[in-house]
Amino acid sequence: MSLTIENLQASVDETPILKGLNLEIPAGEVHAIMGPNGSGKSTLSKIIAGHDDYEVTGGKVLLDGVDIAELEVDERSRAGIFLAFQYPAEVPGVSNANFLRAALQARMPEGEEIDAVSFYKDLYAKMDELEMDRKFTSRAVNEGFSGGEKKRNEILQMMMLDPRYCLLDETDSGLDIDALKVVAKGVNSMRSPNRGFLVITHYQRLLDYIKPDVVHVMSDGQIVKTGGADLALELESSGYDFLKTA
Amino acid sequence: MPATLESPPVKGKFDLLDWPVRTVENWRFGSWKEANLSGLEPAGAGKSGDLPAEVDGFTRFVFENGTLVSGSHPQVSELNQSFGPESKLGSPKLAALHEAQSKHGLKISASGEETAIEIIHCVSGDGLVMPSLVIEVAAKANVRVIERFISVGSDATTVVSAVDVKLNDGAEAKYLVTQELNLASKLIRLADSCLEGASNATQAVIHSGAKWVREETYSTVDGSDGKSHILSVALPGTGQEFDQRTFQHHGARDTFSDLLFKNTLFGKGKTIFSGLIFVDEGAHGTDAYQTCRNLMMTDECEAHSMPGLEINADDVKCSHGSTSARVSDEEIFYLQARGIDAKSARSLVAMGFSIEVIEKFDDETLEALALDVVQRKFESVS
Repeated sequence: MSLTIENLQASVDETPILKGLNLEIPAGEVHAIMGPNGSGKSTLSKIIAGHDDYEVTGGKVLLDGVDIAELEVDERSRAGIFLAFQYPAEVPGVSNANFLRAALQARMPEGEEIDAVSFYKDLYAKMDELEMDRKFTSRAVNEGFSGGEKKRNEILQMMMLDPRYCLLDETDSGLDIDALKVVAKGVNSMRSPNRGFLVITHYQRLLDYIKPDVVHVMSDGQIVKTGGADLALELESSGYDFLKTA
Repeated sequence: MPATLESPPVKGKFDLLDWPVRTVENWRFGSWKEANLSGLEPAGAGKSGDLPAEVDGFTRFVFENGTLVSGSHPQVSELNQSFGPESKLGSPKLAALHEAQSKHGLKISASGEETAIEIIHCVSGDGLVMPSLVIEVAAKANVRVIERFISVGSDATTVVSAVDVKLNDGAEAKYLVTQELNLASKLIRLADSCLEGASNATQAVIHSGAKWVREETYSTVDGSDGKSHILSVALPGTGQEFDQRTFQHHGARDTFSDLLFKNTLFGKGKTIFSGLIFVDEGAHGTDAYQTCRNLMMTDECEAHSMPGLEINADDVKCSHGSTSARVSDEEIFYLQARGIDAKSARSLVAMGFSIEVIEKFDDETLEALALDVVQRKFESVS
């Protein structure tokens, strides 16, 4: 059971971004990707989620052994991929609760409806865990939310949708230290032998709270170095200069 | 030949006027030929149809074409002739036709705290139906009115509706119109309102059905501290054109008006919005807003917006604006990334776009009804 990326190549407007990337995230593990700006980290997460701005020119993304190349964005989500966005979109007029109900309903067998009582019970419990005010259920998705509120909302969605592989794209950006701890607590509560995580970040700080099993360094569209949690500490102190001499 | 005109003075007035033509500014971008009703006869006796569920707390009146088949309320009386609407926005011929032809309608004389009236027009037949509605709200009284236009069957009925709303000092009114005609029918709606003193009116329309709609909304705020809210949700698809002209007239100091129209256009749907905020000399302290937003769901739909301002007083706050945008790819991707299919995602975004207007009703009952009409339209087009 893993999310496996094999020799992935992708470009945008004919400019290559990913240049033969290989990565395997077994269920039960947390992998972190670090790397300098422009190395393709966020692009990788969007391509796995199925964003059509990018053209996949080679390679494969396998979800538990199944190639997801032909799946639409929503099909990938329902198959178990969750992308926590760096910049979550605002959706005016659609309340958080209705949005989540629609997302959960999309996972139900045809003809079955989600139970409203258990939905709200579950929603409120998870909001409490993330220290989110219940007024956010009736507010439009991300509209007028602060940066931190948006990130908490991403984690709330992740907790509600119960995905198999979670991609966190710079979830720590825009978070103060208290919010970071709450978000990390939410993520950690979801760690399980059946779920894999890919955490994209610039900073070691997030990894103090979400301990990775494996750390990768990405540069120029490829994974160039892989190590344990200590690699993040090393990068924090010495930066990416080693890439220039490599 | 025009339809039968019985009253000689009215017939004279009607005969002197011309049907709308392309060159009249108030018909710019509009399908003026649709307004030429010459030769159209009254639709005759109506038919009964399936009525929507009654709205809790409202007294229901039902018309089948020109016949009132049910409804009674101490503050409501039947009209057997037109109140004589005036069109100041391009359709005097149609107003004269209404004055000559309208033989049915209601007058609501609200004097209490909680008058709530629902009027259903069940229309049928390939001809004219011309209802009248007068809403007069006494000082400090409060009224809520729902008026629904529903086709019975698939006939091409032409409805020419005229409305006159008058609020006295301290009165409050919420008035919701839902237009759910079939796609062969037309609606011409001439809506005038006048707010005296510190009264407060919210007038809203939901346009879901009809092949063609021409709506002229003239709102006068004539008393200090008067507040007029004018709202519209229009959802045209292929074969539908909604042409809305508005005039926000500020005739006194310290008056307020806020117009918000939101159009979601599907298929080859078409909208025209032309609005003017007009501030009289001496109407200082006016606070007036006018916004028309178009959400284009396809590349083939067509929206024309012509916002305008004319200010003849000092110390006023006025803004007007119009935007047209396609559904945001970023929003759709976000919703899809949570497992919602593209079609449902577009529908959710479009629904959210309309909800901003509906939430301004500030009335749960009216909001629920409007949402139901909008939801049914989205289900039918997407």
